[in-house]
Amino acid sequence: MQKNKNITEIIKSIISDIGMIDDDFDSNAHIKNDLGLDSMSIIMIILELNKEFNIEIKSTDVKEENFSNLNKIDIFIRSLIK
Amino acid sequence: MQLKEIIFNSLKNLNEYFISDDKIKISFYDLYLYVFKESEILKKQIGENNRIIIFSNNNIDFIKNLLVIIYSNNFPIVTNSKYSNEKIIEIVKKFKINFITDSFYNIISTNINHKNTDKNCFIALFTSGSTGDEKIVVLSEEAIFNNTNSVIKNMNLTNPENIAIILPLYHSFALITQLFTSLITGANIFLKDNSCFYGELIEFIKNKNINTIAGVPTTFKTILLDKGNIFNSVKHITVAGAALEIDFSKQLKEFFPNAQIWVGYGLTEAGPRVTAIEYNDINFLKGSVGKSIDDVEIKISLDGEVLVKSLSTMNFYLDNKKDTKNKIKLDYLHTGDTGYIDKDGYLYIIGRKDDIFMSGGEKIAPLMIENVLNSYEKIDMAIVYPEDDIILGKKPVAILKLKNDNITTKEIYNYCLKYLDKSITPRIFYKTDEIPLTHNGKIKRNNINLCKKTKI
Repeated sequence: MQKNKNITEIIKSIISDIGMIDDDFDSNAHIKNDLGLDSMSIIMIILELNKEFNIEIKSTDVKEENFSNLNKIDIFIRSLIK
Repeated sequence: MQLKEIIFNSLKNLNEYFISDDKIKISFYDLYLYVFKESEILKKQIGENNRIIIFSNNNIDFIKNLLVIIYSNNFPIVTNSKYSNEKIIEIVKKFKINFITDSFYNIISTNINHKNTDKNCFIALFTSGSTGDEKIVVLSEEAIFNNTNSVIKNMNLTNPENIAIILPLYHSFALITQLFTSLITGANIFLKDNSCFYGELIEFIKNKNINTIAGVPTTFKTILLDKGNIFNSVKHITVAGAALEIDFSKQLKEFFPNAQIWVGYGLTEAGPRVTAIEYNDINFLKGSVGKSIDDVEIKISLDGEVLVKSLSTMNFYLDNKKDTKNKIKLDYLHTGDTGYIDKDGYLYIIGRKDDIFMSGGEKIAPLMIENVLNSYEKIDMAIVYPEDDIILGKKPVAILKLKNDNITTKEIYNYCLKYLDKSITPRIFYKTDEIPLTHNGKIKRNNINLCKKTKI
């Protein structure tokens, strides 16, 4: 993990790289409806987050309430890192 | 008896639920009343024999309105709601479409008055050829009747209970093999859009007590991403697409311990199901896609192509005599797939005659993507080919010979999205100095591995 880099920034850059979008997107923008990411992108993001933060996101946790926007992903990832 | 009569007449109890969800409860009787009332109204409003484009969604409104169009003796052409407005206008003109549905399933006139004069047009679905041009596969009532009946008999679906439809209903597999089968057998269906958030799909299967489910390999691979999800309620799984890898099959059996696991071979033009095989068949783990289902005959041509003859074969491609003639010769459908049949009649698929490949259940025509890439000002020449992928099976990637080195992956990807759907757009791009060509200037696809490339 890049300890010195802010967690939010890392997640943002993963979403931006995999979603092929600019990294100035709104943290409340819906990952599917607003940013236009598809199911394959979500899977790739999950796999990348697992690798980057050395965590194991359970499939059953990949739900709208945890992954619909950057803010929610941020809160969810921090809860796993603790 | 025709399929239209059978759908409601064969049901023992019309008061059984067709859809029973947290939000919606609709019995077969409710559906019957709605369809017959509204189809009479539609007939009075627009007459019969109109070509009507209906955008598919995995919801009850789509199903109700599809049936209304069918029962009003009009001709529904089911399509993907992802098409851009420009594309739809092009399709409307090309195929002389009379009406089109809006997002509330209101029927809107296109001001094209030419009526459909082709016989036996029950339903039509889009498919794409090797160049990516849209083709519309026209299926008759008899074709769907035969295919659904053979599927019910051969795949042990005589008494299905809670069926989950999660594949988009513009896919022939979901529409015919799942929806029409449910309508005939009186199964209770549960609809789910292919959600991005696959944890919701897992909850859906568990909470709705789903017994029967079908998907493409990618659907199940996401479900199996982590251990601990055992689905005891599921009794019947069908994986659409090709034969499964041995490890994946075994893993599926582990996660769905009480399920029959079916694989089969099919294509929209064949109506769609051609073969089927269950996990316990000794040839399943050998990679066979099974034996032909009832009323379907398969054989291999001299050059190794799988040929299919059945009562379920499409009538024709709409307004496309040339491609129809190339696809159906002497009553045999030329599938474009190559394979062999063993001495016991089991079919094995080897590959394709053309360059098309499947990625996560989507048909990918490299030429179509290459045409889009080649139209970008910074690209001199592109070649698109499949790379192995843990989830998708195969994914499209592109090697580019550039005119201008100042280019980013995002830039190319976003250019492609103007013309292509996300599900078929490459996400990985390589650059090279030279793309291998034949003396005629065609891409040497077999030599693609020799191409020196670096990631953009």
